Amino acid sequence: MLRASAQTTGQAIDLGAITDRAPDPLLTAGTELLAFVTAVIRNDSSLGPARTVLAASAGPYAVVRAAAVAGNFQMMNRLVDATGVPIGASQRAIAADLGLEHLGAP
Amino acid sequence: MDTVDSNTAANSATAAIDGVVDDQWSRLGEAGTWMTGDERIDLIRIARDPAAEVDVDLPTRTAAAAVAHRAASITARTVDDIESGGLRREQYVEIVGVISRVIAIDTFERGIGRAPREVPTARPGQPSRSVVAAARRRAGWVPTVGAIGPPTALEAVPAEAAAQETLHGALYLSYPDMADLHAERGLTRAQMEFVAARVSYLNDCLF
Repeated sequence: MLRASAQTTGQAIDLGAITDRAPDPLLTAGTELLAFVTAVIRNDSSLGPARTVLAASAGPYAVVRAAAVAGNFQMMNRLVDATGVPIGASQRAIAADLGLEHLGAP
Repeated sequence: MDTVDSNTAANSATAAIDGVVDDQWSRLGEAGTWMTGDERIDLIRIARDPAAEVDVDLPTRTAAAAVAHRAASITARTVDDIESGGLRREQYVEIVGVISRVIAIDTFERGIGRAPREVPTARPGQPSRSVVAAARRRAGWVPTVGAIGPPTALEAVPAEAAAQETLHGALYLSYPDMADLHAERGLTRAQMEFVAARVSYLNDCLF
């Protein structure tokens, strides 16, 4: 969905940022989103400062929506991993691009 | 969007999400399809701490801890072993539904700087033990009515599937809205998908 949405909207994005292989996602507020989401999932001491920086960069509304989307995918990741939902070909292709083939191994 | 507008939108979005979550959180204390209110409350505790002191049986505890804390390592064999330990696959589906929603809600609260919600009060009542006759094992590890996918994985327990879909719509996008690649909700669609991809990467999940 990330690749499709970026292509549809003409949004440049460096997918390598997802796996820390690129320093800048090239996305509006991408660096701030990356730091915020990482802190939310890891639940570490960087969360407060990351929230403040994201709010200053993209606004409080973006903070609420980023927290909500992160919550949703915490749910969906567990749902698909725990029930054996098969991984599609397009997801495998992106994983290969990012060097993450091992995640789809049976 | 200026700061005042963004604050207003943030408050409005938070209130809308709270409306959905308040209802779902309260219902976690009620008997479900395969588990009592007390057992579902124990799932909340396990979602937050795999070493929590709880009363549920060992197969339930094992399944709940795996879903909450090491979901990426679950295999078909894991679920086979859980079933051999005495859990029906439908009960496992309810565990997946409850645990995954608790973690979604806790993540949201943490993200916006709020403390975790207090564990709701358990209410009396017995699970309905209602079986979906058309559900059976297909490509995945749990019974579904049709082909298994993210929207259908919990079909064997309709109450869990419905709660998951409602929460998905509040936190992210409704299933119909997912087809709109220009959708914006505080974030552009590309920003939303970037967040999603980063969460999945951190969870070792290919989804």
